[in-house]
Amino acid sequence: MTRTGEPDCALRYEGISKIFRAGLRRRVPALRGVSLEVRAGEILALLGHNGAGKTTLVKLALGLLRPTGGTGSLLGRPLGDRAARRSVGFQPEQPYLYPFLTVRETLRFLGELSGFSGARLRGRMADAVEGCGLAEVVDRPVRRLSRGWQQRVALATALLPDPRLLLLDEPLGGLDPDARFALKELIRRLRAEGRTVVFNSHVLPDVEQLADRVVLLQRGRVIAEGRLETLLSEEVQGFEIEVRGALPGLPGAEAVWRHADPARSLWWLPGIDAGELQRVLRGLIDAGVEVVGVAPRRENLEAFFARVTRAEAGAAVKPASGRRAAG
Amino acid sequence: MTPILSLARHTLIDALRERLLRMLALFLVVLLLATRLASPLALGEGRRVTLDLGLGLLSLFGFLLVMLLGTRMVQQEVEGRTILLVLARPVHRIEFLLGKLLGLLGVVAIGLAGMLGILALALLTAGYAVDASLALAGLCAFLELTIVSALAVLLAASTSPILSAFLLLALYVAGHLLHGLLEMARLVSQPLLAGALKGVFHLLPRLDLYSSALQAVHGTPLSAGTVLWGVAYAALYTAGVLGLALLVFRAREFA
Repeated sequence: MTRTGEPDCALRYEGISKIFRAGLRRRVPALRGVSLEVRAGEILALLGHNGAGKTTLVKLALGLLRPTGGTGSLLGRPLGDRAARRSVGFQPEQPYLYPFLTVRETLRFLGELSGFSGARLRGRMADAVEGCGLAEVVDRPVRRLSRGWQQRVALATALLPDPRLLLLDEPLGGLDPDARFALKELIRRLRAEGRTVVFNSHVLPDVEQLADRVVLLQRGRVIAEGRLETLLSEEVQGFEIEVRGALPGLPGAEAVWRHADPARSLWWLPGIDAGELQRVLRGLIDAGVEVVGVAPRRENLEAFFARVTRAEAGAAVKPASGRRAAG
Repeated sequence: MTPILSLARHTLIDALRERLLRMLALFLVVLLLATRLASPLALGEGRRVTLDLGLGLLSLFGFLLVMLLGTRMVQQEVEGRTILLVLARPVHRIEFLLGKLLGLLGVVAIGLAGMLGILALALLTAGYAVDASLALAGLCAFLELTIVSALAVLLAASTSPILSAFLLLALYVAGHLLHGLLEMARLVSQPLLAGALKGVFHLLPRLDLYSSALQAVHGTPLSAGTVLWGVAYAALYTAGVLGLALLVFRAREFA
């Protein structure tokens, strides 16, 4: 337990499996013995291809689905428990909203369902409107809003219950860069307030910026989990070189970026070590190319994702460190 | 506001925004046309004809209202996936069903009041008397539609809107023809079949109980016992159907 008496573990799954029935005979396993803990106060990202089981995990937590096997807890109570749901905010993968309601009516209705009334409800609504920047559309019907605005409204409904745990399913999808930046700031602020955030996303650079920990799912199994700094390989994957002047033919070099000034460009030299880099740089300088900058590139989350999911699909490849789950 | 009342208000507002007013307007047009067409044939029984037509149409339109709204209201939330937003909150599934039923009953009450008002207006403009028996007829129609609404919620929680509407129509018709079933059970010589028919009689909704409202508007007073039994039966049957609906709805998952 934490000092405030709250459970250390906001969400826990123990050997959870879920099998969906498709028709009379076909059984589709969505989760296969998933065990996972989300610690209070952390930001955890669930990663995986479509159909990996991310959304199923979230819906099991809320009692929208029931596990076929295994058990778990939500804020110290059984999965889907009604009292626990009082402190959980949920944003589904699409902004599923009532089209005929205005933003204000939507917030009022869902706030009432969260158990608020009177001044407390008005306060929660005002916080949600401010937190998601909805002031200018608050009296507009939801059906007249763009997808990005609807996404913000959906997030506001998730924030209404003043949640200790936020479950966000693809929260960054459909948002413009400003809204995406604001949402990331908001999620960081929520963590700073001691709240727990679990989110699914396919936008891996955003995950890299936000998540304290990631869990990688594939075909209903956890195939890797841990903090990014322990999961991602420290090994240098290659070097980026920015040059001014024409670049002589370099075997294996890939153009990453070309400046408006055609003489400037950025090149990616994969798979070379420091010694080879020295030779390349010497050759460039001898050829009269001005080297503006050189940067080593280490593994990012996208590369990790590709490496681990491909390895899992084929032969097993160990990650740099962190925990690789047993299949 | 409790989740039940909040859901009820939400259901009511949703219905009022689009469908109910159109239904009432249609009722007005059909009633005026029907009384206008029937008045030359009334042979001095204009009030009776207007009342019979009016209450018949009230019952029919009330049923249509419940069928159109009630059988779709759960599926609408499921298809629009808004049910995820509702059930992810601290809302019990029985609260969801009760809220939907109460909202539907609110729509029915407003609809019946509107249609009774139109009927009273039609009587008054034709120079006929309007008395309290009309309100009693309204109560009977409301009790009948309460049972039908509970059945609509049960069917809506269990199956598709089209199948729900079909089954609800079948139950509505059967509920009005139950006396025939009881007569059949008396005439059947095989005790097993007679028992089965009696069992079906007790399971199906006794909507025929509420037809006596017609006698009331034509001057045959209803006893307090009949009215109380009608109220008690509607309450008990509705509670039983809701219990069954909860059993079905609790087992449902929302992927």
